[in-house]
Amino acid sequence: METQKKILIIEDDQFLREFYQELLGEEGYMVEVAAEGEMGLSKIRSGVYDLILLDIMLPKKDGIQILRELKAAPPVNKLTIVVLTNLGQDAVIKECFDLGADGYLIKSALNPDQVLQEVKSYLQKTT
Amino acid sequence: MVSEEKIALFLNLQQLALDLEDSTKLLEQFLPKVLEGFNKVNCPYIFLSAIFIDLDGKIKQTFFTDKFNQLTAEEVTKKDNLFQKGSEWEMKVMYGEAAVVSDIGAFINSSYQQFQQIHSLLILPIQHGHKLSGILVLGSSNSADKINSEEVEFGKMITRLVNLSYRLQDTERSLTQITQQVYVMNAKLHQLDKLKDDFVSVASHELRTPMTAIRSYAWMALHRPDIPLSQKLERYLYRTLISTERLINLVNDMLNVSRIEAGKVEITPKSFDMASLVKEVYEEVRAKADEKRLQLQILEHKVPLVFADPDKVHQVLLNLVGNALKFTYPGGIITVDFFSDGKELEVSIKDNGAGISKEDLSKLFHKFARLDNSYVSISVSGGTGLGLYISKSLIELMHGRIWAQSEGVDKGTTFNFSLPLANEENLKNAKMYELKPEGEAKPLEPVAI
Repeated sequence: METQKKILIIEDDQFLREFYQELLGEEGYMVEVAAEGEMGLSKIRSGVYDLILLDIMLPKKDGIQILRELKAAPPVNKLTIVVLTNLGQDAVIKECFDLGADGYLIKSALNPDQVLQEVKSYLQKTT
Repeated sequence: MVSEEKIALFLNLQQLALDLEDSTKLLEQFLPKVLEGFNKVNCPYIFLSAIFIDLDGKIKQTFFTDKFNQLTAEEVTKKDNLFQKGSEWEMKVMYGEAAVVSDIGAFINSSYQQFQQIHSLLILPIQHGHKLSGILVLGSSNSADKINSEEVEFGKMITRLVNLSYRLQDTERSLTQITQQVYVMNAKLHQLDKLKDDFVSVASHELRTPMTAIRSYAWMALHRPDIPLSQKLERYLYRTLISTERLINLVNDMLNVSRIEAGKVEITPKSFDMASLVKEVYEEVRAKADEKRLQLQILEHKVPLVFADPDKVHQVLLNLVGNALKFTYPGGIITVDFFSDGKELEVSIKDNGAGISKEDLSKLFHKFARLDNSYVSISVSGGTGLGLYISKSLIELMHGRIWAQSEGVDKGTTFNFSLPLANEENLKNAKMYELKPEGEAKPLEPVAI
């Protein structure tokens, strides 16, 4: 049997966080969540995840800062980080990719099935 | 008659008043020259002081030619109003006449008087139009009876120059003040503008987050087979979903309009193949077209390169093709064709759908245009009322034109836009087609289809 994939969702909006948690949980993934940036970063540092869904506008430490810190001091295991946000500006997208993000998804432009499809395809790329 | 010598002095002084560079300090520099001039033409004045008043006689400003004269000035300015005692000289200057005062003790500090050997004062009204705007006080070493009418006449001429200098200085000062105020206001406006920009982008982000949550939950309820729904509930949820999508699109489009109107949009023209871009757009909307069983066609595959910003043209194409998808009935056809006259490339997007009445054609590109004769309402079409306005703005920023044709309701619609070709002449003037906004350029939000 395939080992269960582990996903970390860093999202401050409770409803959205729980929505993605449920959506991915029902799909059979092991899902952990963080509601703000500092907690998110410490989870990334201490845990092992196959995929991280990262929001940009976050309390305490924003997504860009998290990417920057991870780039400055990369963890031992290779991370797959997909930015999942509502900031759809080219400049922000470019900055995220420059800072090592593997993908960029705009929440308001995708329906839940499309989010699932994207997550699946990013997870496939990692194996 | 005033002597030629004095006339020459007058003209000299006049030139001097007009030539002084820093007009804000004009009188300070000018009055000593006047005193000097008087002495050259045998008017033995020891001090000179100009006192300016407002309409009520209230003292606004005083000027004097040397330190000792400060005493005079202080004596005078101790009172707020020039006219208090109703003395003879006061009455005279009020009526625009010169006054010669021999009893100067009341006017000047006595110790100063002795020291400087002042024996009389010539007090001249400074007039602006018909109004008294101040007095010029000249302290003479001659006694009062030696001040003749020619000297008084000349003094009056000089008061005109003093008034002119005062006005120039006043104007210059006001201008400087106004310039400073404008500068401060401008800085404030810039600050406000930035605040507004920040507010708009934060607000739109904050709006989209809950809207995304509503949409996601509604979508889930509708699309999960394990959630049993009554027909009514399904309809309600569907309408919730559609309305939320409309709201998200509206936020995006409003952001785009605010960026375009604020001149924050960057245009970076490149040579590119329009047919390939249309194919890309077709791929993006393929799923939606299939859903409605709509055919997507391109008539011409080889077209000359255009010189425009491909991202912005992509935005426009997505809007126009998206509209065609919305307003064409299942089984319809959407056709893109090209035409070039050697200067521009014309792109036409034609559908055989709902069409537009003659009355509505002219309103199409307006913001929030309400089409009276369109039976496809905005709420059903999911439109924001801003898409075509944005497309028109973008095309015009790229030196193109956009227009629509329709034979009427139910007779299909053709949207056309033209853009400059990537020919030698346009490439040579490439800078002309570029647009770099001052400050930070803002990218556009994605187009809803």
